[in-house]
Amino acid sequence: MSSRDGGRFGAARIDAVTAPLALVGSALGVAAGLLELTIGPSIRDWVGDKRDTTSLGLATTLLAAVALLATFELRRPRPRGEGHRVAVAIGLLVPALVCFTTVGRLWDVPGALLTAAGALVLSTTGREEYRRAFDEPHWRSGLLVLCGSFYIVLGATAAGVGGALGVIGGVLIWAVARKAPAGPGRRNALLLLGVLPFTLLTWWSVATPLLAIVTLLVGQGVIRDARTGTADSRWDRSSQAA
Amino acid sequence: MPTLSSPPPTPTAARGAHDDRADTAFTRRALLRKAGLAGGTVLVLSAGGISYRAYDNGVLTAGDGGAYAAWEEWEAGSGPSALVSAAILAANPHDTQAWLFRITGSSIDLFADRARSLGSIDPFGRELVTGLGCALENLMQAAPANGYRATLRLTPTPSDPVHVARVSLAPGPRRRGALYRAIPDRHTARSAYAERPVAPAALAGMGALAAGLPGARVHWFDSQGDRARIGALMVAAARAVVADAQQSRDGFVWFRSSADEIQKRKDGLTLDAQGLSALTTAVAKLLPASSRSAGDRFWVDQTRKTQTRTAAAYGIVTVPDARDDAARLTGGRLLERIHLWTAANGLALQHMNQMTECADRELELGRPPRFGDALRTLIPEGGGEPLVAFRIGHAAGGEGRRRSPRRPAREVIA
Repeated sequence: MSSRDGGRFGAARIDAVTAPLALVGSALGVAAGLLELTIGPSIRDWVGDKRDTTSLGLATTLLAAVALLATFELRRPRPRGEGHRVAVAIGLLVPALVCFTTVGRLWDVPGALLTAAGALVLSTTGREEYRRAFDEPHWRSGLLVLCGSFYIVLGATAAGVGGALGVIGGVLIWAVARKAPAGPGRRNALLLLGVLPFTLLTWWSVATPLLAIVTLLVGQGVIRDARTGTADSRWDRSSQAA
Repeated sequence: MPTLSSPPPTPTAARGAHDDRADTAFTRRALLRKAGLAGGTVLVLSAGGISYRAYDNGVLTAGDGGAYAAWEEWEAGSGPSALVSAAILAANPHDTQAWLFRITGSSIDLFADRARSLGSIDPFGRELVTGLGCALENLMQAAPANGYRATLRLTPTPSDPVHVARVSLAPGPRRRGALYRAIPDRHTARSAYAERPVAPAALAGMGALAAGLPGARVHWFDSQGDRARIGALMVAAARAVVADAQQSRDGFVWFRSSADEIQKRKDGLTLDAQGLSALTTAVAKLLPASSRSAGDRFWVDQTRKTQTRTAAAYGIVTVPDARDDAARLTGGRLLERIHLWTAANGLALQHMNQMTECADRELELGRPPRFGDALRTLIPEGGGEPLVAFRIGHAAGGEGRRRSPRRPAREVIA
């Protein structure tokens, strides 16, 4: 048995411990979010004295759901592709750390479990997988996903139409990061549609205009990556045909 | 025949030179790409930091949440507690809310919470008790609106300065007056006012609100000369307050610089209520919390450049004896009536008590009465003693009046 196989075997054994940790952590996280939504005003001491326990509850539930999704991905027998384990670790760690900064005591247990699970996944991820996960196009897409997440968080805290536009904008930015629409023109349009409405409505906040500029810059890089990738694959096909 | 030209490069040499250039170009391009990616990462992380700060400090959610719920729920209750829900929305110094209520079957007792004093800013409790008078007025306005006939008895004595009033309630006709309806719209407006005078009839109308409040009066100063004189005194007093380290410290402890602190304490002065534009407020919330000295400078600047410069008129409430708590309560009731009247009639009002704060501090420390004398010269002979001062006008923008946090009624009913 090679050392690499041994590493995989070790990772599988550690995953057998990690998965239940992540499952319990994310389930408790969802429960914490639901508690904030239902009895949040009565337990303000436990939820960081947050002004709006409804928004906090929605954000917590959403982030815990992301962690739950990452848990299911960890249990998947065959990885989806390059960087699968890194994505799973990020899916566990980001909700854990974000909620630690804002939820309060209610997040102590789920946060600790998810952080431990995320760290275990990272510790058993091979160097080659890290390298693939963090190549330039993946990195840029990841940055754009982050920008979309910031839109969603800001949207979730803003009231009314502005808030809804922020959340929808974030989802559209995610779609661009996933290269969902075909063609650079459509991707550009979708990017603008995701970025502009919320920004225009909250221009005075300073934060959203700055975020918009950064998102558009990163988004252009992602769209260019997608276009280059398409051109390369066409060239590859025509070379093979010749 | 020999030629002067160099021999053609060997294929190997040519390939080598090309490869070197390509390698250099590749290395440079790769380096630039990596640098671009690193720069992009830093930008995204910075944007994330700013977004988090905006989220955490409530840039997009000013005036929301539990600390402001009292403004929404003030009419939701029934019985005597509904009267307390109205009382807690009253004007009060630095939003200290130094009040406690006790409800018995047919009466409400009002107590001073002296632990919430402003310290050296209000060494003799002048503003604290005047704020209690404001709360009493709201309570009295709310009584008929909730079907009660209220009888007020002021009870402060030198031996018991804590129990300040008892309101006895009996069933009565239901009536919602204009001042009662203005309770949730009454906010202090610290922004610039429009260059428009306040009509003399409006001043007279507010003066008439003193009816039924023995000894309490309001004196108006709306001429250019008077406004300049009082404005200069206000600025000088603001400078004197910040120059007094103890007063500066005692004022600063009531400033709430983070959204979490506002939600936790539900009191104090906030950035949202400073009368700044939405853009300036957002920038101030995104930046680190300002220091005491920066806050002092800001206050003096605002007083000098904005508040005194755009005041359409100043008002000073007087009572026969400004050291007597019963008179202060009565003066506070008049002050609240005037503020409610301005809210009901589209005017803006800001309480400006730095002159009396300096006068009381002079008295406390035994200093020459510079501001005390100046205040006395403002009021004509027989016009009573100055209790509190304010400016009025027409708010120039929407940002003028923003809600201040409030502890809900259930937290202040003993």
